[in-house]
Amino acid sequence: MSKPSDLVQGTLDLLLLKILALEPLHGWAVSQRLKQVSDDVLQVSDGSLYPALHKLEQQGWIAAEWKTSELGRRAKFYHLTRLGRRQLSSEAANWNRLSTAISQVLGLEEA
Amino acid sequence: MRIEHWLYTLPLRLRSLFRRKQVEIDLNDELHFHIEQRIAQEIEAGKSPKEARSLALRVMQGFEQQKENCRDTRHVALFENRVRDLRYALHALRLSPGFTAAAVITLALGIGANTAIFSLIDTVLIKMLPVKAPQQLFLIGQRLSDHVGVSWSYPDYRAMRDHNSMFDGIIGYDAYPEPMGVQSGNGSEELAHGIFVTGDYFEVLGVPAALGRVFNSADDSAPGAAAYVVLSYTYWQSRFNSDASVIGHRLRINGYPFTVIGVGGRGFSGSDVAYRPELFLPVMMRSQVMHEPFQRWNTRHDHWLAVLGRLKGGVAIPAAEGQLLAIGKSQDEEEGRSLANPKWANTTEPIVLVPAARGHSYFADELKRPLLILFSIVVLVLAIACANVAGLMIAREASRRREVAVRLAMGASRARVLAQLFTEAMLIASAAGALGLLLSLLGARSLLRFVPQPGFAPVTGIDIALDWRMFGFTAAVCVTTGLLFGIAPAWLSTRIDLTGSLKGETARASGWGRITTRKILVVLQVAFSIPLLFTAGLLVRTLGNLRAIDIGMADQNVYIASVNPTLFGYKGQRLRNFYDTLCTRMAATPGVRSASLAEITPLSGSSWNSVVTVQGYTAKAHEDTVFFDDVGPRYFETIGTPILLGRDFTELDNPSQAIELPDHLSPGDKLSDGGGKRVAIVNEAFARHYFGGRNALGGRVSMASGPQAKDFYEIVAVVRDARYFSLRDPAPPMVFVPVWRRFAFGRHLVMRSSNSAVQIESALRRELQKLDPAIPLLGLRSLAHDVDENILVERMVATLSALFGALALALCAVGLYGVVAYNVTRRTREIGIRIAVGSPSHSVIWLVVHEVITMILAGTGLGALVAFLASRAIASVLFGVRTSDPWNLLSAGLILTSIAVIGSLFPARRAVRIHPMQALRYE
Repeated sequence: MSKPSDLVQGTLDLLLLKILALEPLHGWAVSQRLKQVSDDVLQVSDGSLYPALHKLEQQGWIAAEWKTSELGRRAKFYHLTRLGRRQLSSEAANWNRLSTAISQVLGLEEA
Repeated sequence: MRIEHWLYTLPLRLRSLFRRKQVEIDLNDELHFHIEQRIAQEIEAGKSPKEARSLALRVMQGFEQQKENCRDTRHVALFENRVRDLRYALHALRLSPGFTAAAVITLALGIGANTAIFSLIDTVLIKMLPVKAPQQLFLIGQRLSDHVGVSWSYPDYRAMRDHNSMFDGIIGYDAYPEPMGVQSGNGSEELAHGIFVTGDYFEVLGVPAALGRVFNSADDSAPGAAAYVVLSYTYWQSRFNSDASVIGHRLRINGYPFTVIGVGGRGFSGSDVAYRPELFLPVMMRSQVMHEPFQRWNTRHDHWLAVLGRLKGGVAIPAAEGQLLAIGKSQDEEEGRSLANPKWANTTEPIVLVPAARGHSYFADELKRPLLILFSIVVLVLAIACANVAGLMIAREASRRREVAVRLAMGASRARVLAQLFTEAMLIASAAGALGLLLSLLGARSLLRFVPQPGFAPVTGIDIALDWRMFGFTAAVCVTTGLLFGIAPAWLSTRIDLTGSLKGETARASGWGRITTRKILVVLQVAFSIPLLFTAGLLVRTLGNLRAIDIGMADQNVYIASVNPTLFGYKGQRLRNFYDTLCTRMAATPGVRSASLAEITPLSGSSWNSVVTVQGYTAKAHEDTVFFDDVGPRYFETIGTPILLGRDFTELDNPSQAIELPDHLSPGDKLSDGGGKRVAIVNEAFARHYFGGRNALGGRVSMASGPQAKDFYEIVAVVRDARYFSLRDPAPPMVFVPVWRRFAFGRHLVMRSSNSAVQIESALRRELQKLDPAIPLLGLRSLAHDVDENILVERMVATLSALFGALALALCAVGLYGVVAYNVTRRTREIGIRIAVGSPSHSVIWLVVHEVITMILAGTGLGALVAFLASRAIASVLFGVRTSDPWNLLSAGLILTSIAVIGSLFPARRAVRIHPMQALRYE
């Protein structure tokens, strides 16, 4: 299982925001979804997930609501706020710019 | 963006603070849910429940740790801790009500005293006028030989207003207002304080009308044209119950009908902090109200206006002063051309712009030093209170050492423990602040009784209201005191020897720092008290000396009545008859020993000086002016000043017919004095100065100098010196002339009677009713009252300093007793052993008392140093005492020592009675 340090600093926020942009999820589902959509490449440790979610909540990018889960248990569901949507698009744009630049560098022909 | 952010996050923050329990439960549930899901997944993957569980917990990397990490994201820890500290402090204080009450009351007395004095200082010296941009306002004055003259003639005012280019407006108003009789509808006549103002007064000050309109320049156009009155907001509230229909209402002011056109802005009451007019009248109505013909007050020789200008932005003060001087000079020249002798024209002296943002008041200057002295005194009182409470805190903290040690041992940081202790200190300070504010409101009201109140009714004086400035000051004082008295105990408590304290060892083990600190605090209290007692002693003796002065007059049973029929059109012989009849009738009233008339009464604040020529005496510079008064027969008998030589005035010394004051008087015009034999009475000071050892009787004086000196008065009597301006200054040389010798004008009625003031007042009103019901009694006061008023400031400072000195002494005694009693308890074991081995009781007593004496001596030494410095600051308000007088310091030390020794006798007695067996079992 990958450690959180495998994730570039700050990308965890981006990933969480993106996952929650698709649909409201509780913490456990977020971690499962992340693993699943990235074909097991990206994983967030159980330990760092919740502080990260709480931080996003305190920043006003996501909000939470207690709802009954698919298993009939009460769980805390997070969803993106308007503020979070704006944050996601700007962070995504940043990321795209950065990764394109990195790809370009890596794509250089070696002499 | 910012606001939207708060929209989401504020509810979260509030929730974390105030629904803390729910937030914690939610956090717990959320993490548990995750763990359970993980366990379920692992079991599904084939792990045993036990393995699954331990894995789930492991990958969470510490359940509690993650919870704490989540909490950290809330950003409320700092605040949350404060709330927790506050709750804890409240709880702790509730557990020791005695300590809390003692600390709160002690501090409240100190804070209350500070706030009360501050409110006075704020009102008199700091607060800005409630007008537009007050810092642009300047009072226009002239630099005279020994002071700045601030009264101007109307023509001078107009020239400055019309020809300057450096002011956004220049206004004038009555510099010497007098009470006016006001009659509304068919109601009876009442007195009110009114001032005459120029048309642009309100506009330039930037004070809009609260109701109706204020004056404008059209109201300045012609004499008598604008019979309008603007009421002050407070007068409208109190006299007319804030009735809006007052606009258009008719008021008779000194008998002349006026129409109310408006109410001034709320909070505005003129530009003098100590004089709060109730009525504003256009200057152009002065003749109608004061019965002063326009020609008489529209000359450069009648200086009656205070002139205030609003300086344009960017204009340098010297430039403005220069321009005004040039305007004045050209006025001087113009006047000179119109006169037979150009030398009779006025000369404008160099102009001085006096900042008037805080309003102008003679009282402000007079009160400045006394108020600052009082402020220093109350600051010291507060310092003593702080030291006292710090002592209490230390004693209390000693008993809580174990609790603090437990907290430190459990890993609480020193900062957290300190924060906790300071929270407690702040809580005490806040409670004391609230109580102190209450005390100060009561106190400030009674302080006002000591503040000079100009005029007749007290309503016009300085007003003190609770406002945000007082709140702010109290809050600042609270925080400062909280820090001050919190420091020592907090510092001590973190120097705890953990092991010793946890084992429950008593103060003996680490008590050295504590008892020394408490002793230092007591020494400080003594050191602060010494200058207080020292200055209080000086000030009280000053007051005593002033009281003991032989003023050269009777200090009891002399009454002075103000009645002025000139305001109702009386003049000449009619006026003289009115006064003479009133005087004769009052003299005939049972219980009245004698009655007389005088233009000016001693210590009233008024004076009349004139040039003088003494035949046969060559006056040097500054010797040619003396003070004069017009007095009637039996005046000296009435006022209680003995005639040392010669005879009193008689009716026959007056001219047979009254001299009427003409409407217009040009410089150089000679007013007839009716001829006949002119006689005068002089006082000892005059006789001494101008006649040396020779007999002054038969000497001749004139009220003119040089070639004009004719119409000599023959001196027919010499009277004893009596205080004139102030109790502090010996009588100046004075000349008295018969009351109707010069032109007939307003006079005071002086009476000597053992009747009460109420009886005299009703007799006066009865006689006035018979003579002319339209004429009001403008005032009745006793000479003793004028004497009291004259030393009002000294009385205020002496009384308050004595009061605060006593308070300081009481606090000091309590502090001392506390530390001695504590020390006896602490040394019970040691004392017990001493007694057991045969120490005599006097040596045990000495053991306790010598500790006290050491503290007193140390404190007195320090205090004497402070007192020495303080004595320089108060030297100018002292009278008849020297600051270097060793008695003062000695008695202050003695008072403190005796109180301290008496206080320490109780613990000493307890020490003597300690039973050795009991003492040894004590621990």
